[in-house]
Amino acid sequence: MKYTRNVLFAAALLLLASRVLAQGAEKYIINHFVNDPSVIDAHLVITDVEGNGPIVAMKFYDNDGNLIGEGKELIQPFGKLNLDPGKYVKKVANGTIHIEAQGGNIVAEYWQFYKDPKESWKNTTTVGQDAAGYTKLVCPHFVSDPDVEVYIVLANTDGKDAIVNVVFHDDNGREVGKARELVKANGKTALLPWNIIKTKATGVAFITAQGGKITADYWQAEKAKSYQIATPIAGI
Amino acid sequence: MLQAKHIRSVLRQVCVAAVLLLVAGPAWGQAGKQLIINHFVSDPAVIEGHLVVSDVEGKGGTVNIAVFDEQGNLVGKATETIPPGGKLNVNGEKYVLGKKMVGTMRITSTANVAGQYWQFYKDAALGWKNIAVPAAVGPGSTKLVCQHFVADPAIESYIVVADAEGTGPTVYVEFYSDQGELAGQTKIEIPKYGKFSIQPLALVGNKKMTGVAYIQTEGGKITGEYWQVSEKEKYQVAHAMQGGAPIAEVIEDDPIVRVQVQFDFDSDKIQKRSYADLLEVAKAMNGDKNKGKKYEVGGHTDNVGKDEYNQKLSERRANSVKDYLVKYGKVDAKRLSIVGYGPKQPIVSNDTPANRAINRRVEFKKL
Repeated sequence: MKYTRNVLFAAALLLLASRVLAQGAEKYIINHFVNDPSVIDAHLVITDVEGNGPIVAMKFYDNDGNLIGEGKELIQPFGKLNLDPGKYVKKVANGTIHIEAQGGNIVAEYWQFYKDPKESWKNTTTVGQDAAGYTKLVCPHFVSDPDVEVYIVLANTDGKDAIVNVVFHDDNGREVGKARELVKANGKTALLPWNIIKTKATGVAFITAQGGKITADYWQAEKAKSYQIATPIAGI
Repeated sequence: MLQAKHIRSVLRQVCVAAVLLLVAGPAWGQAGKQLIINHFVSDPAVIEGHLVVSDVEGKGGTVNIAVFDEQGNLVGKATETIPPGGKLNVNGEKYVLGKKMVGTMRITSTANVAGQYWQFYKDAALGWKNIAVPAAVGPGSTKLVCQHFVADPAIESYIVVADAEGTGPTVYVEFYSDQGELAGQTKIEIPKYGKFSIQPLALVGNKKMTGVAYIQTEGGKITGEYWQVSEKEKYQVAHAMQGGAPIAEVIEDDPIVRVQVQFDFDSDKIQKRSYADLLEVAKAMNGDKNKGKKYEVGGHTDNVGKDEYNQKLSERRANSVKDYLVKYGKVDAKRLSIVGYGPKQPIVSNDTPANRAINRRVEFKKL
């Protein structure tokens, strides 16, 4: 009995040490990727953070959580991979990428470049997130405006359907709208604040997930001003 | 059949682990009471630089904002209030009275907050340069990884690093190719509360390449970002660099800490990239909670080579770490005892080069 307890305790401490001391993580998620070779040049970047040169297994899911591609690659110690999702996904698709490393921690990011030079103002990049996911997140800034294209991207990280509640507050803290969405296991969905709030506003969105864990990004594009921005949404 | 006593015991351990994980969590969450905007521009004729600070708990609070130039001089400060569930969205030039400058913003708050910096260009033709970057959270890191950089004369790229604590640390940056070959390195002193920006191209011998930059410090913590802009392709992107966790805060509370000290192959010479970790360990050992406490410095090897040789190698490596802690970390030598475990206690199976690297380590155990 005492032995079992000691083993459990040691395991807990080792888990703690490895979690806390580590840079990056063994499992990462890219909340949004597109495979559309005629329009977009997409890059999945996966980087070794500890000099161990891990093997990474990638799974590509569509928005409904269906597996649409997978692959396995080796990263050289202190090196990185720069991959085209089209190598693994053989159709036009939009979804999430789940990455699992064996033998060392990784970090990941996604670059979305537009092939038409007139659209290059839309080129953007998002950082991947620890696939442990969250049940509470805060989008520090959103815009609700018919002239601004805004998406709150919610990705399911743990293979269980999640019900997600989003409450929108304006800058003064007043509630201005709410939404409830199902994010399917391994799938993703995107909310458009204007469609929910129906008035012009800027503010903060509070997100909670039930039944499963999620990660999220915020995308904002404005054709008139020629910019597109994507930032990770904070888990708390 | 499980006995009630056994169940209670397991539950107790699980609770301890859960508490420890909770304790570890908040310092490295994505919101906190301390934020840093690593790069802020006040140039009213050209840029609208917005500081966004959002309440994440619905309680509201007071935020103190201090603006420093790149040399670390305080050039502006203010106190603002965030309504419960709301946010602050302020053109940062207000805090420096419209003075043209580049620097950092440091925010402390009574509530947990998340922050962003939005940099918009007033000239509509430059809209493609508009950018948003999340604020760095917490006390910073002694290690950062820039997961991707470009060195290319046609592309402007910058690694931006800010002093997080006001200690003015020395920063080491190593640039590796995608294949993991060392391509360049540099050492920079950051002024207290200051920041620097470096362009990878100049530091990799003007060679066109892409790769990874590993950044570590001596003497303090940092936060950082990577910016990339192409005038030709008309895009600008920026994102925060990932940091490592503060070893000191872990070792203060835990009886055992595993630190992957890197050594040259078949040698007891500690690689430079492990210096910062060891100084953190020393700082924790000398901290109030651990003052006078004794530690075992345990050396471990992989299973390549003869056991007898590895046994001696593990002792030599543990001894090197002890010497480093004593000489540079000012830890009293009497508090440290050396044990070599050779290959006898692997953490993972020694079946791949990566796993063998994990097993080559030093552990610190509170005695």
